[in-house]
Amino acid sequence: MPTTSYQQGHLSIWRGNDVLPFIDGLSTNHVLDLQHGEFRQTTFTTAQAKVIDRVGLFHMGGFIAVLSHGPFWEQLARHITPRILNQDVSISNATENNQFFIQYDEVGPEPGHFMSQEGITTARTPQGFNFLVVSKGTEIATDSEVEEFHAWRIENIVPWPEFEITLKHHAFTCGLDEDVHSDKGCYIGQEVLTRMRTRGRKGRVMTKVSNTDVDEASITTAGEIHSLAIIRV
Amino acid sequence: MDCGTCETAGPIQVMKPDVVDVALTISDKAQTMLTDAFGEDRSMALLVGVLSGGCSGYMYDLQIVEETDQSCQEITINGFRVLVPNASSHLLDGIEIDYVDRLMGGGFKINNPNAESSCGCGESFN
Repeated sequence: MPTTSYQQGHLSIWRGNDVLPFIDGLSTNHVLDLQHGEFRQTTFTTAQAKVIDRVGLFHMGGFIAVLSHGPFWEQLARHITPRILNQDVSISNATENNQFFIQYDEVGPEPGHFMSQEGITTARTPQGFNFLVVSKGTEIATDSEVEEFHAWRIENIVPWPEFEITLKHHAFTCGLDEDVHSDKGCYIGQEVLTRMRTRGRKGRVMTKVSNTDVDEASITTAGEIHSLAIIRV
Repeated sequence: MDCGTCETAGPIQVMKPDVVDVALTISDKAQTMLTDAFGEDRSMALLVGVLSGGCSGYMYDLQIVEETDQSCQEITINGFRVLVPNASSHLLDGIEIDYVDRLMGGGFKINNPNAESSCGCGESFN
């Protein structure tokens, strides 16, 4: 049961009647129908469809807990907070109260759902790993180094923030296709992504490569034999 | 994740632009259409707001209201009451409310000098 620490995790608590429409209007996935107990990933993009951050939404009933990537939080906050305007949305930071882990090669809740038990909230991603958000003070044993998780990511072609998921790439380029809902309404970056999808052109894409087959500069996550790379197709 | 712990989480710093005194105009065509909508009743007001979202980041939100609980600036133009929420004032200063009379894409239209770009449908801007 490989479990590794995710030290860059960031947790914010979003409250208010307008939270889901607010997130829906600014990100790639359809989230208006998210229900209590469900987990869904969505991606905030710029008008040019470049990725600001991919986040995981936990519908906790009275509020939405948003798991994002800590180093990207400032750019995400700069993007979202001026757009709150008069909407009923308030955001607080719960990062300091929690710790974050990743379990991979492991079964978990049904994808799209999460379960909470004794301070540990576990969400299963469609990419085949679990996010664990754990209250401070609750012990979790880790038995895997983060490098092993990155090796697993290479084998399973799973993108990760600061590696593939960066402000330099479109959502399609860094393998976030499943976050991009095909027929939801307008959101920032939608025109670009819809054009790319309907024309069948994505420019560069993330893929698993043999290290000898590609230019080193295109490698985003380096492995011993295989790597993840973003290459033109 | 401990929901009790989450209750005590600190608020994040929200970027709130300054409130500006809004100046706006209403085109003759739009005034004619507002007269059709309001009749002689001037107790109703046109609320010109902004929501997040749309292809360009912000969407106009036009409503006919009597009152609103939002903190607003009230502007009277030729007897028409126009309410502009203070939270959106920085985005709406200098706008012209126009009316476009065509089958597709017709209706009230906002010409906004603050918009760097607009969506093809004209409903959202950046």
